[in-house]
Amino acid sequence: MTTTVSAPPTGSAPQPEVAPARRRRVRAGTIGLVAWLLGMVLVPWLGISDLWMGVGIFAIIAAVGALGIQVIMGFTGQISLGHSAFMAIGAYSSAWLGVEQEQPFWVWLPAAALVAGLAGALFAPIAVRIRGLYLAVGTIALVFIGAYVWETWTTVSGGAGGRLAAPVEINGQDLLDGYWSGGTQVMTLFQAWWYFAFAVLLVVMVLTWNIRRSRLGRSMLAVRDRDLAAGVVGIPVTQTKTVAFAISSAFAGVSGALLTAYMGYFTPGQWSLMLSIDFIAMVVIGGLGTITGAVLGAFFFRAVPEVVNWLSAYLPGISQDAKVDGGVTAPLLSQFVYGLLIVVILIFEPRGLNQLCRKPFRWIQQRREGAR
Amino acid sequence: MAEHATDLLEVDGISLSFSGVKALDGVTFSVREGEVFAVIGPNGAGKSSLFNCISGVYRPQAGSVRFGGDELIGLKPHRVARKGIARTFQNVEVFPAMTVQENLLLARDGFMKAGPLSCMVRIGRSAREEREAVVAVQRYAEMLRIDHLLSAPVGSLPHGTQKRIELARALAMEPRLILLDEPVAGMNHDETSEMGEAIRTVNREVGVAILLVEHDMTMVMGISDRVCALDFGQRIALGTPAEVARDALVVNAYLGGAL
Ligand SMILES: Nc1ncnc2c1ncn2[C@@H]1O[C@H](COP(=O)(O)OP(=O)(O)OP(=O)(O)O)[C@@H](O)[C@H]1O
Ligand SMILES: [Mg+2]
Repeated sequence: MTTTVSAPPTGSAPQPEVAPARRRRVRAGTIGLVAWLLGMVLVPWLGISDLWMGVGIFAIIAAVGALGIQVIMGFTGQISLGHSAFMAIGAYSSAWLGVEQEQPFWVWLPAAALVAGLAGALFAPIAVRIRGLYLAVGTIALVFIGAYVWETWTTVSGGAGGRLAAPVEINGQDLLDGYWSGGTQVMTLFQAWWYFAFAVLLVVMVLTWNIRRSRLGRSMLAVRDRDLAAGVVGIPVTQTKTVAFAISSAFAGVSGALLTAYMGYFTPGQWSLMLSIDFIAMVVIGGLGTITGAVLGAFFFRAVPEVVNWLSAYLPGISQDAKVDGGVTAPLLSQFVYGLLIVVILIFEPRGLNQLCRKPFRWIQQRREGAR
Repeated sequence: MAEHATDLLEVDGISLSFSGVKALDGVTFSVREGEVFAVIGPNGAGKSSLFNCISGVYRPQAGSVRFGGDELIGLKPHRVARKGIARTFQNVEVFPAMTVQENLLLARDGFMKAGPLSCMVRIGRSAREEREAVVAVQRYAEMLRIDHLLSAPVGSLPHGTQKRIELARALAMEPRLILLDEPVAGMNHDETSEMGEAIRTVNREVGVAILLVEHDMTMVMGISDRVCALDFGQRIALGTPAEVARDALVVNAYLGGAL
């Protein structure tokens, strides 16, 4: 009569002991976090070349945007391809405030978050009515509308030629000139920007972590996994999605403002659909729904093509530039290897780099438990 | 289970059809404060559809549902929930990726007021509310004896345990009425009697009214104050368990199904 479900063992069977295993995992996580923080602080003093520091700074800035995608896609389960449009909104509002209005970064950076977040909230009423692939396609429209606006609204965007970005000034010094004290340079542009971007990333990471462990994050996960059941336990589904869109867009805005401020100059052409897709790729490779995943994914995404490019110089038969006879060039190989790596990682561990990195720890732990 | 004069839930002539199929046809009954009210009927009689109409998942084409005097038809599920109606599902609806504790904490959302910004910085109200919610949830976990599992991911637990988690989650909402859709479906004998015991405890100690759908007649007859029988979306009987069990139409509906 009823839908029969194969009955599992009775309640009298031994229940899994969960508490100690969890505590161990938390400790491993803390050690990893502390090591990462230390590493990030030390990196600028390890004599790494400007090229690699630059790659790292781009990765840090990308991680901020990836955390935004993590909120909307990883936590709430809504696919958004409009991320680059919200980055652009953050970039233009920060540039206008920082250049035309001559506001300091502690005004234009939060303002970028606010304006982009509001734009996300305005778009949300449409977004919450469509699902899945339809939502993905619907959000693409944002990118095209954005492209049109930036191309035509030349007073703000500078037209196709681009415009100056907001400068980050600390003690009256533009960070793009490095950091000086008493006539000597204390930090190069790359060292100074590394710390600045890292500080912003840390703030956004903490905010995301707090989302995850509060009522807000639980509601998001509930909406992602079973929106019907979420409603029935009292979670306002539409409101949760709206808030998620706003927060995700706000993080995108911060990432866009940082990115352009670091580049110094930017054009409407860079806010493409491809940029949005890059962010989705980052969180998928890194691990959906985790903070670590967003950061790992961003670093993987920014660094791996460069690493392959650099390695290829040491491989025989690979030319650094395109030749007339069409041999294998470094950029070509780099793209190929990069694509291959993504496929291999996702086949080997569909939950992404985050889980992949945990595998060795888990293996050691299991061996230790087995020995006991 | 004292007699109460007040009607908590009044279901009045609700009809629901799916492109020609009449799932519910003018169903009327009411549930009193604190009672255990069972709805029985053969497969496809419309019991789950009835629950979905009450909890705002489906919208019936006709009729009204009032709870404590307020009309529920037209309200979104989360609004119905916040008025004090919790429910469990025929096919367990838990959140497998979350821990038991997080599943229960979800039910406390209605008691929390911290806004998104407060949650993101987690100072003051947000932090305090989260701490309070953890304490509250502990109580319900103990009541259903799942407190030792609080940090386990729900997806890894057996079906019977998930059903208990779902009931604990419903309780943690501190509702005035709980709708239970086949709470012992797929459970073995021991689990069934344990669950029956739990439902009775909940009803007696917390004083919450229960609207129960169940095929297990021993359990229905054992714990219900009143029973309503549905067949093809229509109410065919209403009364005490003994009365309904003797009812010719009910006997016929069940035997007819078996023959
Ligand atoms: N979403 C739906 N779309 C179409 N028809 C539906 C839908 N939900 C229910 N029905 C139909 O409505 C009728 C009542 O279904 P319902 O699930 O309410 O029965 P039930 O009494 O809960 O049965 P069971 O004991 O099998 O759970 C059935 O004929 C069913 O096919
Ligand atoms: Mg049913």
